[in-house]
Amino acid sequence: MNTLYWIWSIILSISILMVLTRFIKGPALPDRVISLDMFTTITTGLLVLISFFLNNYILLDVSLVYAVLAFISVLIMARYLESTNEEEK
Amino acid sequence: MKNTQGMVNAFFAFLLVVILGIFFFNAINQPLGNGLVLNKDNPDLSKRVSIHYILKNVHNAEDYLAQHKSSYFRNRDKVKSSNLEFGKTKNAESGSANEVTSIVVNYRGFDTLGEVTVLFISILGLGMLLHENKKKYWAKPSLIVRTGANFLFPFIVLFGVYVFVHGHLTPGGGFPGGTIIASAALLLILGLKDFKNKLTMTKIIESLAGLTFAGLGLVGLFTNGSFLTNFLPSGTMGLLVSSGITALIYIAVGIKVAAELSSGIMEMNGGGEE
Amino acid sequence: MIVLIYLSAIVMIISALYAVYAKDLLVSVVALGINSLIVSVLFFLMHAPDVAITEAAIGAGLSTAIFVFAIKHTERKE
Repeated sequence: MNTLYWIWSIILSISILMVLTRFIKGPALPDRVISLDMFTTITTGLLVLISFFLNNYILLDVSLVYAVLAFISVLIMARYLESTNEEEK
Repeated sequence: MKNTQGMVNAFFAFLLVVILGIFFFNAINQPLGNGLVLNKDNPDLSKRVSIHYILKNVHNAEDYLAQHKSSYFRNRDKVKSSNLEFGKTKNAESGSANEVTSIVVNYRGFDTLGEVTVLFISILGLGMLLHENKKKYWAKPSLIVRTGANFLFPFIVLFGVYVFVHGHLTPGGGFPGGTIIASAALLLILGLKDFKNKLTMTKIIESLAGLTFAGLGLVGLFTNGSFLTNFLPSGTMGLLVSSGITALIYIAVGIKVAAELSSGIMEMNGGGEE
Repeated sequence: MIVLIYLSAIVMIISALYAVYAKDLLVSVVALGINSLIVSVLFFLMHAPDVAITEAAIGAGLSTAIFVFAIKHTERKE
């Protein structure tokens, strides 16, 4: 079980580093907003995995909060960009 | 001239981060032992107030100290504490399954009243500064945003109410539950075609919830003799109806924080009362 | 477990440097969102679920919203 834990942690760490590369490189703002959304989704899965290996099922409530609130922070950035473009016209 | 000032600031910030990093790594890598502060060979614990909270059962503290005197730290794992089981223990001292809730509401309840007052004063200041504010311009939302906001709003409110009603059983409590309901109000501002502020009713709900919290403390004062005592019985640990007034206080705090933060977001949106 | 703590430290340092030194203020807001997420993961690794839920609810929803409203009042370039 210990080796499986190491392998899954390393795979998720590589995916987090790839998403961070898009946050650093992206020339426009929507690239960075998409990287924030992907961070939230990967973190939800990572927290469920850690609570499974620590044998402590009371810690699963944190992933529920992120699954609900990931939508709202992307929505407000998108609505701000939409309103600024239309007001200039 | 401006560039050298920026470099000096960056150097001091880096120095602060290095010092804090040294403290942090020492705290993580210290060897597990019997405690760092007290003298291990001859501790005199009977003069410390905190002895009643180190041992797991407050009623056995004096018996244990009279029996064992100074070998407490070596035999700490063999302390005879009452076994707390989810669903079976009756009439424990504070009765809630979540340890953080029993400290925040029961043992240190007066500090929670101070925190609620600080939140109230800060939202009051925000309302006074943004009194005459023009309404913000939002573009017309597309079909996906409108459908998503109309569909998701009741589920987010239900989840927020679950978090603060079960505050004494699962992690969470009044403050995050109220924040989740305020996020649902933010979803309505962004997703509807024409949104009108409803500030009067929100502020009346907030004031009534704050009065309930102080009123529960006053009932404790008149029946038992001190402010915020637990005048209801503890019951069985793990049921929804248990642990005295902790559930009632967290319901009042949850409704108050939800109404407060929703009115703060609506005032930043602007437009006044319509 | 140690690998996760070091990884969180690297991501937090990069996002905090972006939050301070970016010229466009909305990039700072996104970097603060990422910072709050990683702080919540660190609280989770130290077995403290109450604090992690509170930090998640405040950082993901309300803090970003209040900053975007403030930028809408004033201007976007530094």
